[in-house]
Amino acid sequence: MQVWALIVDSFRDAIDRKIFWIMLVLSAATAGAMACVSFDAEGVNVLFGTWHIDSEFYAVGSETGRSAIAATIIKIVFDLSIGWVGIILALIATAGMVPAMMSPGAVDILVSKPMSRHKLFFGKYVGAMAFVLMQATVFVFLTTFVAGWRWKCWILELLWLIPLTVLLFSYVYGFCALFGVLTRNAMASLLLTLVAWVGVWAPQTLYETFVTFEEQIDPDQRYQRAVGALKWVLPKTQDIPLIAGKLAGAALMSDVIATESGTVTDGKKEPTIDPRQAEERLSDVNIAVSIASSLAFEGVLVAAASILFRRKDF
Amino acid sequence: MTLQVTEITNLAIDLIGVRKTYRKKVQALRGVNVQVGRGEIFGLLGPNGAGKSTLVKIMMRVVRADAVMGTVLGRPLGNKNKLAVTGYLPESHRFPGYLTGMQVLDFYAALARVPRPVRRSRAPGLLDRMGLTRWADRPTREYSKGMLQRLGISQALMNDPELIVLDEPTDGLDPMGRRDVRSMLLELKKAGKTIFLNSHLLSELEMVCDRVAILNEGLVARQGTLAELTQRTVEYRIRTSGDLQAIRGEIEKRSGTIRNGQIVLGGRDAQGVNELIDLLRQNGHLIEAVEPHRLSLEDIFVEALGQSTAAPAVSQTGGRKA
Repeated sequence: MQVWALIVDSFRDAIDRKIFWIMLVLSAATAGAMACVSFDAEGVNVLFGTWHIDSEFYAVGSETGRSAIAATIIKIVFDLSIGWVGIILALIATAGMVPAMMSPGAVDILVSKPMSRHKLFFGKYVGAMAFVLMQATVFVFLTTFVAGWRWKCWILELLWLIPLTVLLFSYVYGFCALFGVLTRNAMASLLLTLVAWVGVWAPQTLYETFVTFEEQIDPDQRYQRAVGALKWVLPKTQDIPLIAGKLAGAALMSDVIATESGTVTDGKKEPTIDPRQAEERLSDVNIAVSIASSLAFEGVLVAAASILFRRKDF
Repeated sequence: MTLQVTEITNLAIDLIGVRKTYRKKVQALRGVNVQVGRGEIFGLLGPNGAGKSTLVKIMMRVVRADAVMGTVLGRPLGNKNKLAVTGYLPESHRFPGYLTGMQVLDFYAALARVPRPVRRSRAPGLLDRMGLTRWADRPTREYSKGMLQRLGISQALMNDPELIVLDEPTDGLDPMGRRDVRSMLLELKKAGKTIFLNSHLLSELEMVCDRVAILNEGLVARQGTLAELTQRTVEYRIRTSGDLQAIRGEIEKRSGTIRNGQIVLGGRDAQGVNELIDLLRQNGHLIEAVEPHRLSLEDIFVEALGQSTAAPAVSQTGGRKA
């Protein structure tokens, strides 16, 4: 009853914020933009057939086309809307929840209720997740529906993007909750979280760089091992799109990655990354290990925040 | 043994040796003992920084004591089952502005483990009692300070508490609102509730409290019923015509003092009053009035803080009687 009340309260808090509605409008706008595009056996129709782009890659009916469309949706979800833009918007919306809970006058009543402070903190934490769950559900349902309706490509596996988006947000929100308890200030916790996010992103990117250019910059793999260890400990945010690709059946997402990063020569796009290498990278992701180790780190952050919250005098 | 059990069960709050030091520097409480009987209205007084809010916050788990023994509602401090039957209104409370009055009551009552059907049935009555029915579905960000205060009191009563802890409950209320709160407190007392009040409005406490404690510099300076506290500070004032200076020595022999042209005799010594009247008549003074005067809580409060403006004789008399 108590945790549910906190979740409902977070929901009410969320819908009271303008950013909640801005995110919904963005979701609708993205789905609307997707609806302006459709695919047929020969390629892509833009603006309800105003322009037609010939493409074998996106040809409806082929397995390649299906995977390409799935990969495109994943890219839209993670790179554009629910990716860093969406996560930042969600952080803006939720960064104030913990500091608001701890503000003088508000916290007094809350901690005087017959529930442990851990439960109270956890309830608020879950409430922030519920906010993102709502946004992700709306967005993914919309995009999946538009992909099915307009792109003739029903990929129900895309619904995996809902929990994965929440998971990605939770990796980052762990920092936000901790900084919220430490600073009791929404803006400070938001800025510190963004810094921490960069701190999480950097080892992952560095590791990829060391792997890709191993022979040129790190032949004895010294840096690769050090950064790899750090990457293993920290939340693996960059694995989420790859996990989504695997779960959503976008097996050829590697081709998308390879082709999109390619250069156009004589009117034909040549991939600069070997598609096989990219595909190997996709299949390299161990979902269980990636999620479990990331959640373990998040768990440490949340536990630390909860312990600090329990020990505080207000 | 039976007596001890009875005493324990009759105490709603029995705190012994409450200590709290902030940041190893500021000693907020230095071994406070507070006993509150079940079904009584208890007032906590003290100047700013005396440690009143800290004591209330310790009772409500908002602040952790460095040391504390005793019970609240017969259980150790912070017992969840007892917190479920405790209502609390903190000073300068803040409700989320996005919640309506009805949602505020529902939310906090849910945290207090009040079942949903009970919440649904109880909230309208409380809002009505506080004159907030018309505002029940408006977000609290639109409420005035007085309305928020009344909503806060409703919130504290949503779980039908056995013990109600109110920190400055009339803060922000107009005179009518204050009167409503006072009558509500007396109604709650009639219903058998124990009420712990923290207020700086001494006159209001005087009107409703059975017992008070005066806290100063982290210690209880005085504690008892209002009658107990005021008993030794009752004084008689005798107004006469004529010059009293001529018989000053005689007056002082009978423990009287001359203040503002009146004779003041501390305590409840009716015999002493009669002796003084005889003295005055013997010396040809016309007695215009003899008035028993009971000091206000404010007088006691000031005296307890060692800043009494009352005549030294009153204190001396009180001390003599004690």
